[in-house]
Amino acid sequence: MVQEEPRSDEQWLSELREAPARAETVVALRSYVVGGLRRALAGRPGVSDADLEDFAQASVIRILDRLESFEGRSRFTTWALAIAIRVAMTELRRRRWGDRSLADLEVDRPSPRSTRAESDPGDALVRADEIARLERAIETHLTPRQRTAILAELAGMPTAVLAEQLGITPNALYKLHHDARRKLRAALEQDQARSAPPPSNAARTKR
Amino acid sequence: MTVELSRAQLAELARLLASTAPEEVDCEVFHRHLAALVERHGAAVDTPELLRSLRQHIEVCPECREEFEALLRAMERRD
Ligand SMILES: [Zn+2]
Repeated sequence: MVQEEPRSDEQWLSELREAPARAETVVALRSYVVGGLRRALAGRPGVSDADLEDFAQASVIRILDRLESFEGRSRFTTWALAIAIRVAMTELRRRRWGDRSLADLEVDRPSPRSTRAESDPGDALVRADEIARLERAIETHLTPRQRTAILAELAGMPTAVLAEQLGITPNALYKLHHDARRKLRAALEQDQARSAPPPSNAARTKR
Repeated sequence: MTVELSRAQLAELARLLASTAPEEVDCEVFHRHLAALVERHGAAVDTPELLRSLRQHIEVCPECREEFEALLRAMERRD
């Protein structure tokens, strides 16, 4: 095989923008993306060569679509591979999740003990009183949608799927989740301040 | 209504809350800078504040963290 000179960012862009070099450059981009995805997804079970080709195909379309949004913050190929990884990961997450819906998760009366490791590596990390506080905060301080966002994500639901099912954009979902985390954090901090033992002087004069 | 989460989920939530910041960048902003973050370890990111926000995003967003690590792996194993 002939070792080609690597293209500069400008070459990639100009050749992808117009004929005559376009067709050939699209092939080169595709092959770069396949190689990059192979490295990025190495060791992941259930990813076949045909998958890599499919992901690359979908990615190249997305990359060409967004060509004009390349800002030169990185090399063109790194930028393109970042897009491809998102395309591939989104598809793999959907596959792993299957067609379960929010209703299947029962996040309204949640007992989602299912999706995380049974061995519970968290045991050592969370104390019983903290657990009670967290559960109380989730029940009392969140709106139903905020609760859904928190619980569905903890159950491992992909954000793309959750956003679709809630009928909101991924950005709106991020904000919902962020607001929920901020509320929970504030509630826990308040809780902690209330239950903290008073300083020793005050303790004696109290009541 | 009772909330019943597994210990592992509660541990994950506690970790998320500890990393939560008052202001955060969302996944779209993170993704705009992802390639630069991986390629030049943040040297190409506009401001230190933005770099801090991007790193903080990795702590609270499992999907972006997964993509960051995958891109890092792909770039490190090149050649
Ligand atoms: Zn994200």
